[in-house]
This record gives sequence, C-alpha cells and structure tokens, in this order.
Amino acid sequence: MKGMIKKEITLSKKQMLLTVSMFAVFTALCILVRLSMECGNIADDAELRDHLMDNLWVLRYLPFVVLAFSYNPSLTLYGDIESGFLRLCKTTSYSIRSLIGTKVIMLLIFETCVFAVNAVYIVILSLIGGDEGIFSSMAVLLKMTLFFCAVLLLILFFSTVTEKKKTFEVALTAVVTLSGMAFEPFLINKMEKYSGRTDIDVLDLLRLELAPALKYILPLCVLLFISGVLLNIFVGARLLERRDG
Amino acid sequence: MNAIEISSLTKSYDGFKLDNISFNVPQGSIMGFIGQNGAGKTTTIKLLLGLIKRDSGSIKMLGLDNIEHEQEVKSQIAAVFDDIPFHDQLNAAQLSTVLADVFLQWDKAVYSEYLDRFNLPKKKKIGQLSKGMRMKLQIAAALSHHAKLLIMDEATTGLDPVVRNEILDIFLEYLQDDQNSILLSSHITSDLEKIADSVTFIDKGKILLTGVKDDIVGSYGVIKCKKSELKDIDKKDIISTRISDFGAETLVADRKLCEKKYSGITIDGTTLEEIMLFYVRRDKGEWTS
Repeated sequence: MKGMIKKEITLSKKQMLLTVSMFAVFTALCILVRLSMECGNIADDAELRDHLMDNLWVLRYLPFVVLAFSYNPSLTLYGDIESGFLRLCKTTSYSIRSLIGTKVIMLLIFETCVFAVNAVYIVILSLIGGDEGIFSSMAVLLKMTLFFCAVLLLILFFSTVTEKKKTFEVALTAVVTLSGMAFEPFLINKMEKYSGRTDIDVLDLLRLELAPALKYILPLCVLLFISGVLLNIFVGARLLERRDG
Repeated sequence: MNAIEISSLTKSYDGFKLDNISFNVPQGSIMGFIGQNGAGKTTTIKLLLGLIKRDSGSIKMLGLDNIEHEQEVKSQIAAVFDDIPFHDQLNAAQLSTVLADVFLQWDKAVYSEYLDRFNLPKKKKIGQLSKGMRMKLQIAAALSHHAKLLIMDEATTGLDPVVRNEILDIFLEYLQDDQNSILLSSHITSDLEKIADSVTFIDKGKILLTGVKDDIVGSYGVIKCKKSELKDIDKKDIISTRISDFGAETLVADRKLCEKKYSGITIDGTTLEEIMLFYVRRDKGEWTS
C-alpha cells in the first residue's frame, strides 16, 4: 500500500502545495493583524480592536476550509482512468478493491491531519482570547470533518459509477446548489428576525433554536461516512472491476 | 504445452464480429499477430486480458482458463499497450514503488537494471519522456515481475527503427528462458519477420492464417507474369492479383505445386507484408497498386 499512497500524494501534490501556501499566507496575515492589535496601528483604535476580537471566531475553521480540499480521491481516480493505469491494474492480480481502499485510507489520513492542524489552531485562538469554547469548536470540527469525508466518498462512488471526471464537478455543484436552495429561505428568515444583532449573537441564538435538530447531525455524519466507505469498497470497486461489453 | 490456447472465440460488437477464432501460441515462442487496423487484434487481446466479456469460446493461458483462474493467470502475465499506462506526474523511480504494490513478484533490481540498460532517467517525469523512452519504460516494467507470458498490443508502433530493434533484441533475450512466451500484435510485419517463430493473420474478425512463420512464408509465392498470361492460371490457386504497368503479380498459397503446374512462369518468394496485402484485397480479385 506504501507505493499506492505515495502515488496518491504525488498526484495531489500540486493541489496540496497550493492550499498549504494559501493557508500559510492566511495564517501570516492573521499573525500580522494580531501583532498590530497588540502593538501596531490597531492597538490605538480600541473600537476596531474590540470588533476584531469579537470576530476572531471566524478564523476557527480556517485550516479546515482551506486545506480540506487538497486531496480529492475522485480526481486521482480520474487520473488512473485517463492514464490507463486502471486498465493496467485490471490486467494484473492487483485488486481494484485495494486501489479504491487506498484512496479511502488516504482520505482518512489526510482529513485526520487537517483535523489535527485545525485543532491546534482552535487551541491557539482560544489561548490568545479569540474563543473560549474549545470543546464545542472541536465537536463542530469533528462533524465538519466527518461530513466532508462522507461527501468526498460519495462523490468518489459516483465517479466510479460513471468513470468520468465531470462527476466530481457536477456533484459538487449539485451539493452546493441544493444546500443553498435548502438553507437560503431559512437564513433569510432568521437574518430578518435577528437583524440588528452582532454575528456572534445571531449564531448563538441560532444554535439555541436549532439545538433539537443539531443532536442528529453527528449520527447523520457518521452514517453518511460509513455508507461512503462501504459503498466504495464493496460496490464501487466491483463496478470498476467489471468487464466492458 | 501452449502458452495460449484460443478455441472458437466469438465476440460481437455493433458493426464488428470476432468470428469463431482459434489459434495457439506454443510455450517458449514468439507469435506475431498481424492484421490491418480494425481487423480484430485489439479485441482479441482485450479478451485474453479479461478486459471485455467473450460471447462464446474458450481461452486458456498457461494451461488455465483466463476467467476461472483469473488471479493465477494474471499474476503470471504482463501486458504492454501502444501507449504507456502510467501517470505523467510520476518518475521511473516512483513508478517502481507503485508497481511493487501492483505486481506480486516485482523485482526492483531487475527494473533498475533495465532502466540503466535503456538509459532511462530515474528522476525525470514520465510526461517529459519521448515516445521511445515511454515505450522502453513500459517494457522495462513488464519484464521486471518475472511474467511467463508477454502480451503486446502494437508495442513497437510509432517507434523509430533503432529503438524498435533494441526492443526486439530484448524480446529475443527474454525468450532465452524456454518457459517464457510472447504474443506480439503488430501491423509492422518487418518486425515479426525478424523475430516471430509463428504468425497468426486476422482479417475482418476471422483468422486467415496461423502457423510457423517460416512454413507460411516458404509455402506462399508470387507469380510474376504478363497480364495476358493470367488466364492460364487456375483461379483456385490465386489469392489475389496486383496489376501494374509492368505486368501482373499473383499471390499463390502453394508455391511448390504452382511451380510444377505452371512451368515456365516465374514464381518468387514472398514476405509477410505481401501475404497480408494480397489477402486483405482478396475480395477484389484484381487490384492496382
């Protein structure tokens, strides 16, 4: 499996370097702003400083948002198909299930690393006074990670069904559009209801209001995640193994 | 023992049929699989490799059915395609690590030897290699896991004569072990003329000829005569006739018999390319070059 994992990393290296660079730039900017808040221009402007402090929570999930997309198993699968590597594997005793399994394991390792980086980020932010809810933030991060893994695994499954690159783009567009369509009326409604309050207050109020529904999110994410793993290993791999014609 | 035994193999596509084909590749030999583009060579190879389903017939490779004993068969064969099946972003050194996962008997030392022998750079990305280098890399990979049977689909097509000769020499070296066999599909008959022990000729999904190359080439002949002399030749002996400004050339299947039958007429030896050319146009009877 070592060689296959190395292959996955090599194929995703460009994207990984790009997102890590973006993350480094964002982090550097945040450090500069923070330094400015302590001993620079912003330190002299109490109102701006307080406003920035209040909104520091926005940065809690920055590593996840920037880094989580660095590895996409659907795109490496497409690379396997396009290069003829999948066809070569089909002529050997190497199982396609192992090929797909490597992608699933690689995704888990990668997203665990992103989770760990983000967890450190959350701790640092809380230490510098941006956020005190470490555990709640970690819980949200865990749900986000599981959900994101599940989405990528489901997209990988659809990619194995169609064996086409466009599946990823179509699926991602569909997820974003459908999510937007589902949440837009809800968000507009709530924004109107809570207009005039600060963002952090609105979020707290929303959290309270949605508390009964939120408890289902973790089990739902776990269920989606497990479904994604099983679908890929047992159904997706079989579909890829099938003979044409 | 035969390395490959194909019996009554049939596969139908929309507009194409591989029609009840049968031939064997003897172990320890190299068989040239010839035919024009679209004749059915690649379909046959895909069926051998289990990439497509067969409609009927049987395929035995190294004595085992290629579907019933799929894993066992696949662990002992190597496939070489007309285009390299590796990612452009990898280099030859990284490829070794990847293929060590894919092939059970991957031999890193042998692979490294081939890279040195072919002068292939280890750190250069595959996408930056020339067509010849890419093909050599593919062949190096195919020969580095102790496969007993090499199946090659147009592996020498598009390569310059120097590289082709280098590769053909490697194949002959591989055949020094009499357990090893090669099926080489190509429409470059000169390559097969040089190295093949036996030849199978496929056209429009049907096997026209199969057997020992020297016997086939030796038994066929080309009658060179004037157009007016054509009427003296029995139509049953003629495969097809090429008409040119200088006269007529007729391919006959039994050169010795025709020499006795048509004394006074010149019958020259022939080549695989000519046999292929005359056979492909057999429906026309007479054709101009």
